[in-house]
Amino acid sequence: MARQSRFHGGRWMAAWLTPWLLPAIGLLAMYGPSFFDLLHGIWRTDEQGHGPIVLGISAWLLYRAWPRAMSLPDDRPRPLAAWLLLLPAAFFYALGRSQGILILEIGSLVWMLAGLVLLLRGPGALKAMWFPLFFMVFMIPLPGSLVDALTQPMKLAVSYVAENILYHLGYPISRTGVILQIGQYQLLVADACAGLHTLFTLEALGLLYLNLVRHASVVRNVALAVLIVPISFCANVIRVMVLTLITFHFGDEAGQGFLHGFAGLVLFMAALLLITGADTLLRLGIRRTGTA
Amino acid sequence: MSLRITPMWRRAATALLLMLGAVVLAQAFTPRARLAALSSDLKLEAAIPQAFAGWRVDPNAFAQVINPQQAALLSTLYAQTLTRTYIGPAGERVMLSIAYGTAQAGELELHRPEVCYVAQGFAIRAGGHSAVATDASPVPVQRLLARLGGRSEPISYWMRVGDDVIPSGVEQQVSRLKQGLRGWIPDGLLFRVSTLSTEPAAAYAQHERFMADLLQSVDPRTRRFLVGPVSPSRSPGDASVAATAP
Repeated sequence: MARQSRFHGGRWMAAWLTPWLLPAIGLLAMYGPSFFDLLHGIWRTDEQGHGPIVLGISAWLLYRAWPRAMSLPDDRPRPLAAWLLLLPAAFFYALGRSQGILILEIGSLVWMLAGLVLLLRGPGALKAMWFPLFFMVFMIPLPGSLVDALTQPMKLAVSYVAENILYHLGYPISRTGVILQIGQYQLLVADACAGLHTLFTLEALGLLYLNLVRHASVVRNVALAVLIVPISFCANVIRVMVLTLITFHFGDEAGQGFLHGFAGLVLFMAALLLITGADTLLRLGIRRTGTA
Repeated sequence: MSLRITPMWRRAATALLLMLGAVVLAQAFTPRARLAALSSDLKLEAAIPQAFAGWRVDPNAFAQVINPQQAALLSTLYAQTLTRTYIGPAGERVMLSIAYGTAQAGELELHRPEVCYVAQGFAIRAGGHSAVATDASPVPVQRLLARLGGRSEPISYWMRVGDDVIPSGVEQQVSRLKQGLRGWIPDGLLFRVSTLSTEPAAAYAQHERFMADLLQSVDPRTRRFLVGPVSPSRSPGDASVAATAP
């Protein structure tokens, strides 16, 4: 049989790899310049610093999922569905790339890849690669106006909670909007300190953790994915409090200098501990209900 | 058998064509002409009069204290900024702030006052829309009320993106897209007037009088710089603009 000989013949690798050479050239022509611009532009800023990391992890996840996706025996290409993905993707790419709308330009990559997999392999391969493709969503830069609209209330809430906790611990702290006044120091809770992007980065990290741990329980996976939102919020509150206390005890320069980066590290450590902690609790809970 | 022209290869080749087509299309529709180039010689400091229609610059107004971080951000965002305090015929004080950016794209977009006041800790309340009557079409104006502690600051502003004065953030994007597809990289100008006042209604009326007086007093080119249109196709009859068009 033709299919069989393709996989057991000497050039089996070339057989399933070569059709991909052409789309690979296309992808490079489309997104090579895009990623070059991103790496020399907004991916160098604090707010979008997670972009290249997510890109790298996505590439690694794709590489890992590739052999299985390509060796599913009963997969048949679905050209019609594929073109329904590829055509809009190409259109949105052209619009986004020419008019500088990054959400369309980079977002189109996910649809483009999904379309290509459907075109050259089939739905089975797409299913095997769904997580790497979905993970790419986290590297799409969101429009500034949307980020601003979502970040402002989060900043206010983070400032409010941090103020209240420190006040009840007996610190001389007051708050006007997102400006914290502690002792003689005034701190402005900046976008980067409490933003949507930390939530995004943490959600991406959490999902990656779930994907790698591969727990069978759907309840646990979904619960943890949802819990990451409040966990990110708590981690942000902890970071703002740490920064406030550093400034109060060691002065303005320490708070704005190297310890600012330290507070960022605290954020991720706290988030990681909270995520694994929540995961352990969930696991215990599931085991108990399972045995009961 | 792997190198025969199979349906697989045909599909792969078609996909490649589609992708290269998208690249060509994107290149073809990328705007390259900067609207800002048409007004690069216009300096706000000189173009906005120090005194007009009974208003004059307050020589004793405190220079606004801007922290260095913010100054750095402002200079990356904007090509020109102008901040002045004017005293009116009845002794009223009005703060004028103009920010001009040469390219409205991505990170360089004009920041709307709704966003930047909030980022500085102010609580912002929308105060509705209005319009300033001019000889040409009326200019749509947005009203805001900013509060910080005991400070109450009614704000009126308009924003020009390329040819259009645009009322909202959504229209800012739509307008940028329209002009971009016509091949223009629009410039952007934020014209903001505010007062320290606990009576917003009276303050808004004052702002609009100031705006109308200023638009009446400046020369036609400056007026177009402030409220548009600026592109050669949209502002006929001005030889100096048409001559410098790319």
